[in-house]
Amino acid sequence: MKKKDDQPENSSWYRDEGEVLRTMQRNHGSRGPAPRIPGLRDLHSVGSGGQGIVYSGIHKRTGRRVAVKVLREDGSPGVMGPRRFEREIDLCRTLRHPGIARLLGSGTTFEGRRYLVMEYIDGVPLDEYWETGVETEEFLGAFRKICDTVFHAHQRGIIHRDLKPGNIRIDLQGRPRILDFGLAKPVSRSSIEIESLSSTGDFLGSLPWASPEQVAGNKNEIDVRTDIYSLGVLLYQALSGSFPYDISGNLKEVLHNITDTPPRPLKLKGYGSLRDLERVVFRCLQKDPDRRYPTALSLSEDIGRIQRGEPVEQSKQSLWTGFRRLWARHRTATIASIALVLGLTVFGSAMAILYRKTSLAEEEKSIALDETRKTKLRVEAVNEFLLGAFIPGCFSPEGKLLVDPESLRLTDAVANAATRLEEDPSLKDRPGVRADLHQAMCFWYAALNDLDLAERQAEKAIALTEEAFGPDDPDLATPLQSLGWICLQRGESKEAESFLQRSDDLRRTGDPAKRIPTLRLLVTCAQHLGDQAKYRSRLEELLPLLVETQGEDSPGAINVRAALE
Amino acid sequence: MQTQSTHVSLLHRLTGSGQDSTAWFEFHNRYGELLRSFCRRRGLQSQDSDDLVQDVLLSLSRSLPGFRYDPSRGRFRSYLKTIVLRAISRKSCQKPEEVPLEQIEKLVADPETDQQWEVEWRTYHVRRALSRLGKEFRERDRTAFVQYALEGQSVERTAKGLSMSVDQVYQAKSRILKRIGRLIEEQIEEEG
Repeated sequence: MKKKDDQPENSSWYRDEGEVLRTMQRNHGSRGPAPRIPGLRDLHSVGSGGQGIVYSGIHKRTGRRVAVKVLREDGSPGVMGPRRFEREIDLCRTLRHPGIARLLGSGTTFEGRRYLVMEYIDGVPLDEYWETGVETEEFLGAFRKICDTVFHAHQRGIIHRDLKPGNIRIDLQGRPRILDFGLAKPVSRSSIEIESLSSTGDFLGSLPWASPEQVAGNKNEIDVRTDIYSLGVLLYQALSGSFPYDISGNLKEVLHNITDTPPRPLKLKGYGSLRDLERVVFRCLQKDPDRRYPTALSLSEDIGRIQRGEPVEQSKQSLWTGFRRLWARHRTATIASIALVLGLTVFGSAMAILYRKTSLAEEEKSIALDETRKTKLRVEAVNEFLLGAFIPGCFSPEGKLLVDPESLRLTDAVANAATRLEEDPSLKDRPGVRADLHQAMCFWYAALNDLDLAERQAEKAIALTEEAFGPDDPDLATPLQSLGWICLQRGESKEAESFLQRSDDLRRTGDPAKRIPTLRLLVTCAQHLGDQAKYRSRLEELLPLLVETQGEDSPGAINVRAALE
Repeated sequence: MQTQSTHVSLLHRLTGSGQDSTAWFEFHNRYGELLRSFCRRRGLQSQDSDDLVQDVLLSLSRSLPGFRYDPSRGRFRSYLKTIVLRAISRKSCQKPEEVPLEQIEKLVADPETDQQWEVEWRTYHVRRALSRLGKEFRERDRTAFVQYALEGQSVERTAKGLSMSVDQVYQAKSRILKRIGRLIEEQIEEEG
């Protein structure tokens, strides 16, 4: 016999509150009764999320209130195997910080489902806290504590990956406490994960705070800066009451907004340093992780500066990144920018060569003086050539601009320099200088996104060096690395790996700092080739170099440590 | 994340070029649990139910490109029910090409099947309304609703555990229930 509540009565059933409630009870009951967990009593559900149902309960012996998260039977998104699960648990147990809800235990229920016992945080979720009309100054203080807590975990190689208001609670003493550190799995859009994510709703629930690299499914790009992005969304939301971009459309539009749409201007009233605050938020929300704050600590420090009325640190970006962006925007370069970039390049090349030669010289003390003198001469020749090749006819002897800046294109100037390099009789017997110049041309063509010409220049640099100084000359390392980079851009990972490996071999005896960029590219190769073992071994090789040259807690070292987790 | 006309626009996105993988993701997110639950009700094992959901999505991907959803010509839920029953029938026969159409028609018209589908469809609406409820209510009120209205805990105990008054618990229940009803009404209107 059928139960009464199983029978559809009318098409307007939703207007009958009793019927709606019965349907809800049936749905809720399908979760089954509260689990039985040894040592705990009075379990009541207090919520549910992507990973499972959360209960509050009482620890029988101590009478303490605890939170219990019973993981979904079918495994949570990203399906964590038992060994990985145990490893994560062990790692999270090591996190001891007043800002992190402690993991007290874990196990399997009588019904065979995995559970976690955590400190129960009586209080409100972060968004309810900011909605209570808390003063901006006070909120910023709490937010800084959140950043400091996140930094503490990052230093231990643990990334949260799912920072959102529901995972941060303000306790009864007004202290922010972060939940689920290290337990949240990366959000990814890969085909396999869509299945499990979609069945739990976890993906959609976390989407507004997810970083561009997360929604693009670039798991390998997820590092500490992913958390910085989510912190940026939180801060934006708290200050303005809305999200940085529209999240009300369909999934495709929302994903597009996260990966490509710049954040809307921050409308903030009643706080003095609006511009600085906006700058801080926008730096967190950069689509490119390289342009975000490198650490949660630097973010916290900038907010501290705002609170004290000091100027924030300017967004730092590399010359290379800046140039690429500038070039992408303005295909026609002005004389002024050429002169500026040229000056920087000559300076950069000269510094790079000097640096390289100086470090070599330190190792080979016997020829130090000669080498330094040779280097100086070589740099002077490079300088002289570049100035002559790029600028002739553009400036009068008094420095006055002679041509229409709009008519001069950077590509033409580089092509002109490359041609002159082939023909210049004064360089005929100076293979070292010519090799350096070809390498400089290689950089320029790479900057102009002409990989074929960049490749040709690198090959020439290699041929000249090998011919003049032999196949083991350390100067070969840079053009070999360039070839590796070019192959990587083309997706030819196997070829890239062989060039980069040779480059790295040549650098093993020199300054360890110089190996870092090569090893980073080798890590990328291993990723592209799907070689997990090599990926790890490269990272393991990279880590001590980063620690030695940049420090134990440098962003580079933290990221690599996190990637090794 | 969803707006009023999303249901119809989602179906139109599905019937488009077929390349919009996010539309499939959304569709799966929205109807996956309904389909799985209905399959279990029809006696399928958990693994088979998952396979069947895939099968339904595949069927839709084949039939939808030529199909323009027109709410005036029939309810989407009836259309979806037919597809699901067809898939269940295929699954039980294991001979995809040999399912007589009459058998499907019979199943579609069967009152018991109809009733099961209706129950699942209501549960789907309730689940969806709950997920849309989101942050409209404070966490404390939502928890009170779950403990008191859904789990049957006494009002006094619920109030004490959450540091609320008994009246506040009653109010939370009443307000949330009303809101859920309105959300479901919206969803059903949107569905057509």
